[in-house]
Parts: sequence; structure tokens; C-alpha cells
Amino acid sequence: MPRQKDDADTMRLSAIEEDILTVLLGREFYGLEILDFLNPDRPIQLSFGSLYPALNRLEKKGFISWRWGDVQDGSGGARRKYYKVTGLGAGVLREVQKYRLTLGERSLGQSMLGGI
Amino acid sequence: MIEQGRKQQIQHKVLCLATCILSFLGTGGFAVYRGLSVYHINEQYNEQVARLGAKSTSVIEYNDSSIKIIIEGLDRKYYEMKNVSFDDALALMSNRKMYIQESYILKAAISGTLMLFILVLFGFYRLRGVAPSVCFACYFSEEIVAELSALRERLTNEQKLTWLIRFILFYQILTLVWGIYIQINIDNLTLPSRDRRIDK
Repeated sequence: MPRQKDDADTMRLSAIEEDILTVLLGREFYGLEILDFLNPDRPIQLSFGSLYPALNRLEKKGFISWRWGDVQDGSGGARRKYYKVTGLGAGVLREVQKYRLTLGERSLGQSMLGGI
Repeated sequence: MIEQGRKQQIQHKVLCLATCILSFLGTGGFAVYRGLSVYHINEQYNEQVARLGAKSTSVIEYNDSSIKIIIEGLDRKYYEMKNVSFDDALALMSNRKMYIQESYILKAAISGTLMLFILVLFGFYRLRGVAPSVCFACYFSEEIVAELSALRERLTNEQKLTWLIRFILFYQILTLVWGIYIQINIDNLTLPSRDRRIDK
């Protein structure tokens, strides 16, 4: 029973985590690229300070993995980390999206019935 | 050459001194403020208790409805148990409002001190001719140094104003300090402990 509770906690996705998983699905990006995809049209802009804790959470839950990239010019020898979604992460994202779709359909059905 | 070296030494000493004074003022100011506010709140609290003891019906005016709701929520149990009137309970707990205000001021004071400290420290490194990426490396991990350097390079290529680049980097560093040193550590308390580094 506690194991099931742990699993349920792990499977929870916050809005920002869901956004990151969606961006990373099928692609490999580093932090600045993820922000470039997330920030346009976003009411509150994300910064590195909110991105890295979210990436840490996703990594600890096993939803994303990463690899070191090559050394970039002008970074003083520092390497970037490239993140990608794992199979588990893709599955959880699919489940969440499926749930939202079902919720939308149910709500639409209710409102149509109410109209009758 | 020797003169330049002496100049740098003087700059070094002045900046170290400024950093010490700023951090001392910050922490000292915080302690003094905290002490004074606690003293003030205690005084208010005692006054309220004395007023209740004298069965006085006069209460402090609460114009702010949101504060009233917070107090009502927090202290419902208390005045139910004590069987006192709502107005008396409000008066007894008037210090709650001050605690809320105090917490906002404390947050602002701590953030201000931290900002000053980081500014002085980075200014010190820059005056010593240390590259920005090396400055970042003193506080953050490798991937973050690479990201900040990439951001800096991009902003420079876009020919943004120098002060704007500095402001953006400073904002990112501030949020990173919070995110890396505090939020991640708090998050890790409730997250699974497994380490999934694929290229370890």
C-alpha cells in the first residue's frame, strides 16, 4: 500500500513539468533551448531558477535522462547537458494528456446534455 | 607594472572591506530589526491581554478584510475553546497582522542583502580581470556555467546594451541561487532517491 502511494506521488506532474516533457518529447535540448521553446506566449516568463528545479524533479522521478554535450566556445571549458524524455516519461505524459482529453469530452458532453 | 599591481591590491582591499561591511550591515540590520519587531509585538500582545482581562469591549479596527479572514481561519479553534466573542478573539490575535507584514519586510531585507552581496562579489572578480564564466563556476555546476555563458554570448551578439545584459544575467543568477541552493534541496526531501545518471 505505501508503495502504491509512493508511485502515485511520483507520477504527479506539475504544469511546468508537463510543459518540459512536451517540449522534450522526441527531441534532445539543453536548458536555454528548452526556455526558448517554453517562453514565447507565456504570461510569466520562466528563468533558469525555475527550470533547473523542474528538471531535477523530472530526473529524480525517472521521466528524463541527460548526456554531456561538447565543450562550447566562450564557456571556459564548461559542457552543456542535453536532456531527453525516457520511456516512462513519455508514458506518463501520454496518460496525463489522455486524461485531459477525456475530461474535456466529458465536460462537453455534460454541457450538451444540459442544453437539451 | 609595480604601480598597477599596487593599484589592484588597493582595489582588492577596498572591495573586501566593502563586502564585509555590507554583509555585516545586512545581517546586523536584520538581527536588530528582528529584535525590535519581536519586542514591539510582545508589547502589543501584553496590552491586548490586559485589555481583555479588564473586560474591555474596544477592539482594534480591521479594515483589511483579507487579514480578517486569515485571522479568523487561524484562530477559530482558539476562540471556540475559550468561549470568547469574535471581537475579543480578534483583539487578542491582532499581532498576527503584524507578523504577516513583518514577514514581507524580512523577505525584502534578506533579498536586498543577498543582491548587494552578489553584486559586490562579482564586481570584485571582474575588477581582478577574472572571466565571467570563471565567476559563474565559483557558485554553479558545469552545465549552468555553460548555459549562462551561452546566454551572455547570445545577448552580446544581439548587441543589447551592456547594462541590460548585466541586469538579465544578474536576475538569472539570483533565481538560480534560490533554485539550486534552496528549492532543489527542499524538493529532494520528498523525491525518490534513485540516481539516474546515464553516463556516470
